[in-house]
Amino acid sequence: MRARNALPMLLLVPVMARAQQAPLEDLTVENWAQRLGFAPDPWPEGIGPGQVLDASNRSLAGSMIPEGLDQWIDRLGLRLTLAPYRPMHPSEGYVRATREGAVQVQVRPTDPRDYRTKAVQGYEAGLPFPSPQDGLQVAYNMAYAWQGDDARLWFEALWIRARSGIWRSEEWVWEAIHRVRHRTDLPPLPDLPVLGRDDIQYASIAVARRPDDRRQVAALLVRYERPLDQVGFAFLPSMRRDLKMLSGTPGVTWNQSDMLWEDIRGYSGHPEWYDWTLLGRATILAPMHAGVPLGPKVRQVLQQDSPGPFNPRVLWEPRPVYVLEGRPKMDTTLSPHPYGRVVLYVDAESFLVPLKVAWDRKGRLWKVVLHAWNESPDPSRLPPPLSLAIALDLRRDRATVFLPRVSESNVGLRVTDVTEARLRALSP
Amino acid sequence: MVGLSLEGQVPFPLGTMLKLEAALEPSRTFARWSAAAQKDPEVVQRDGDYFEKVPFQSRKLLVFNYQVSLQQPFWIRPVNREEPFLLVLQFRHQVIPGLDDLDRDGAVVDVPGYDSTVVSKHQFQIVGALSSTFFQGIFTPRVVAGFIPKTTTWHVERLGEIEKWSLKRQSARHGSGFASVALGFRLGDAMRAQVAYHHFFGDDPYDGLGFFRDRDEVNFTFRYQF
Repeated sequence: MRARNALPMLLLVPVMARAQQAPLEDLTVENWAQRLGFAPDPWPEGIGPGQVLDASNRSLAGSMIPEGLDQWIDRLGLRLTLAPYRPMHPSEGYVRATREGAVQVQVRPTDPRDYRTKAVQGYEAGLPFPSPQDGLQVAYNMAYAWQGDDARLWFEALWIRARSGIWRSEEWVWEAIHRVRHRTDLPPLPDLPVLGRDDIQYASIAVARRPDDRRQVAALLVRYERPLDQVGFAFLPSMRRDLKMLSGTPGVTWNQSDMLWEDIRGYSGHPEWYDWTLLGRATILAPMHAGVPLGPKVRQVLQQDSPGPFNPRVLWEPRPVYVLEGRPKMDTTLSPHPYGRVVLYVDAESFLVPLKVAWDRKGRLWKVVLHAWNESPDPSRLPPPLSLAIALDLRRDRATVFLPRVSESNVGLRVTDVTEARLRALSP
Repeated sequence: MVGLSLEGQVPFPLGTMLKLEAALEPSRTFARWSAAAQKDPEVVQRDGDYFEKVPFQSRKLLVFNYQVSLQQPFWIRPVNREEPFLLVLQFRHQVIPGLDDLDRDGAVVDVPGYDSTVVSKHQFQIVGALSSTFFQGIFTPRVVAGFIPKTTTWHVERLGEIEKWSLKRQSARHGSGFASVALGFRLGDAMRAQVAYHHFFGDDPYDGLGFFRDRDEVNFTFRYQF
């Protein structure tokens, strides 16, 4: 009941029990959205594609604008340019893996406070739970959502305050093998031989390009298949050596920004690290075909006529979502988690997370984390490119914005691209 | 020379990173303590005169070094809500099994010509650093301190014009070290500033960090990057 009280505006529909073992033999790219998703609610009366919602008329959208996003519109001048709903589907390889593998996936009973034991067994590749029945299953779908087997992101990070605008900026290149194991798109399938043998699930290298005192600062991050702590190596040019460190620990910010490590892509920790509750299904406005012009002039996406710097010019469409509430398990006196709870709006077709809202430990609304994706240049082969991310601190009226110059997936990264040796080789 | 490096971690919630590094040098060259070296000078003849030639005398000794490092992130939310503090501690121990601390004839020094830098059989270094960042990286305070205890040093007795040099064991309170406090500022993308105070202390001005003990400094640096 507490969770529902915190979401007074949202029209939640209970998840109807569907058989987990529903036959998937006829699942295809074409019927993916119809089979696994659900239809979004129709446009409320008085609004539709092409219109712009702001503080004066956003009430027309009613429950399609959840808590947090409403404050962003009312206090900080966000304007929503509306676009029609368009279904999404993954690659043929991901669909095939889902078709063949989903029936083998099983939830393993674990202690609710246990955040070290993997809660699912039998997973090979694809979407683990085509008909998710509870919060953990949606969280697993989110963790293994189709985002390509690897990615390269060249992005600007902008620190913005309501009063002073952009006051700090950095530029990074981030190369990640998202799927060391459970690959669906790029050979070898399903696992990369070397890293996969070490139980590594994900490995990435990020290198700073700007400003000068951060140039060539580099970090290697490794995430394991089991819900262990992530491990990183940071190369510091001033010391000319790399240091091993725990990285991406729950509750820690990315690079002094408003984005926690676990906020990246909505949620980037292990599902076992939170206690999840599936609150229901809903339709919200979200930028899943955002239309952001990537490239060197990507900052233009922040320039609009309306007041305030927190106003990205993206397209918002009605999306069917699972509403997922999470409470951090990794919360101790020695290392208290800053979030009391979070609500994730998980797209029911892609299982990407366009919107996340976080409350602090005292139950006060704190952050809105928005991710936007552009339309895929080749939907049967390439996932939609991440085109914008914003972590907005509603209490301090400040945000960190991530704007990609280049955002591409399935680029064919090799194991040798994410090693300590490569980290050192990137040094000047 | 052979070396070894091991890293490990204590999982969340401690999140401690531990690192052990060790090195074994079978024959590191040291300069001998000059008082001992001059004990047996070589006499040479040049241009009809006799000179005492004091050759640079050295010893080759087996040296074993190891260092234990600890990185401990921790939160003090009332002080810093957004970023953890990072505590780094290092302990280094050097052992030279072939040395006898009070053996004058076998004594060696760290710096040739500086007899005060006599090397002990066991030498230790302790370094600690504490840092964090505030306001999304605008302020970066840092405190660093180090100490090198000294257990063996030289001692001089004067009887008229005669100097008698000897080695003397000290308590572990003797030694040298430094303490440094710094505060960095980030002003936009281009400007960086730092104000820092470095304090050095030590028993002996020519031993370890005591060499710098009259060189405390306050500095302010400003950088504009394009």
